[in-house]
Amino acid sequence: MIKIERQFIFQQEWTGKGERGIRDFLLIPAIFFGAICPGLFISSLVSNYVPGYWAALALNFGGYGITHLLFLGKMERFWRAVLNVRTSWISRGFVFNAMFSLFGLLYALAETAPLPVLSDPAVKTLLKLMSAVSAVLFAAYPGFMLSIVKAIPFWRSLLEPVLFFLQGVMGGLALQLLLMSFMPMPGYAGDIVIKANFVILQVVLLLFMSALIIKAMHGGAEKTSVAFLTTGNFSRVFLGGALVTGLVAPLFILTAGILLPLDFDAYSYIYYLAMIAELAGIYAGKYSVLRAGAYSPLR
Amino acid sequence: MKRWGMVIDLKKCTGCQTCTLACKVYHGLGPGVTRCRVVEQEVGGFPAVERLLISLRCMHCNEPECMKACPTGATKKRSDGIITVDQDECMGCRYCALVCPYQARTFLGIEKRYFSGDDNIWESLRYGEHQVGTVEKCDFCHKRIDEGIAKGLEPGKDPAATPLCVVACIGKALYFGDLNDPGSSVSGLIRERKGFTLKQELNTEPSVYYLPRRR
Repeated sequence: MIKIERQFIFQQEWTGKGERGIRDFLLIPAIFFGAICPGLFISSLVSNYVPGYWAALALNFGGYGITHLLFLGKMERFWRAVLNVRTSWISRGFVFNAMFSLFGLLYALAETAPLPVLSDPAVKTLLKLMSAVSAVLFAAYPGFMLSIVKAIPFWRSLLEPVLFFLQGVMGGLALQLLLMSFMPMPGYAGDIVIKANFVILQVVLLLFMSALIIKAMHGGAEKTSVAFLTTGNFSRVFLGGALVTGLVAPLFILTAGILLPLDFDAYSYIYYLAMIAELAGIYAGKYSVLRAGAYSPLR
Repeated sequence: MKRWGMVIDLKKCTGCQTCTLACKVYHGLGPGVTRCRVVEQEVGGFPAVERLLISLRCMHCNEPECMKACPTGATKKRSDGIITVDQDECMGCRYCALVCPYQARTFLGIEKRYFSGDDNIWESLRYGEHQVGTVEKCDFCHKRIDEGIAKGLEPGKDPAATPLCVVACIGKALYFGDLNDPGSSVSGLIRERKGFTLKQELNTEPSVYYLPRRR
């Protein structure tokens, strides 16, 4: 049989570039907030940091919801996204987001205002469980959404959902630490968040590098995607932004902070800088992964 | 049950883009929107280099990735195997365009015209059929097929009931017919000339077959 080879081309639909200007770009912040909102909620659940719940819900509404709506070609039809839960990961994500918004709001209400209906310990536990489960699913769904795209081999990996979830939690922890500088939590020290972040940072870096090496070892489109990320102009975004700024530099700071050890209160600004770098790195990482979607050739 | 399909003879295609143009004119597709296109590719290495001209369009897969991915249910598979997009149901998320291994879909982001000034009658009629913010793709000219069948015509044989690209092809490189009918011209060509589909490893079972240039 003859083989029809074709030069690799990169996906153009979800690159943040398009004829509609800013509206096409809004998918990138939507995916970014779609990761860190549930991440912030989960990290706040662990420490019962009430301002974190509300911040997660507010960012979910504005940063994820509104931006996603504006990205759609026909935003007034957004509700139709629920109609194909059986096979579509976008539909499932829509449901996970709705569940997260509902249960998250109810749990935040239960923790903030002692309403009679929500103050029952059994109801509260149920709400906590449901909001946690929906937050985990919501954080991981974009990874599943990308990993099932047969046409783009670079995305086809079981690591995608795991990385999306862990990066979400990592960003959530970073955001929680930044929030705690404005709204401190009595009896809860920032160094606990730092230590949790330190562990997840290492796991993410390990998975990140493993995924890249595995993809680079494959031929064809996957190798092309890795080359796009690591050589040429775009490597500044990926290597400089996602890898060095977002993972290596914060890990270096946190390692120094833990090993030396640096007093959290005295060096808090260095930690805050590391957290901002982490968030910027997550943003660059999401953008890079989307941009690197190379199609395998027709054959 | 019929399953409409197309056969493209790579030996006969001259790359004239008549199919592309016929499709664009008939469906009133604006700048940047294509439902079918012909791409040129170099195959092989020196000294056995070949230049191939491949007419591409929606493959109307039997196992369509786009339909599974579509969150709104706008992408549908008809009983005759044709994949359609209901523009009244599409919300313009473009996930279908992303998952299609054949890059057969185009997003109509903004309204564009080839010429400035008012639309002529044809443009007003045809441009009005497309909704900005939704996704476009080849539908095998299913309206021609349906209207033709209603008149007792046979798609693939009667031009009025056949996709316009097939009718317009100057090299007679395109064939259309029922893939489920072993006696149809398309089934015969696939069998005799060892027709193949693109990206078989993805198991999408396309309904568009290609006939090799050499046996």
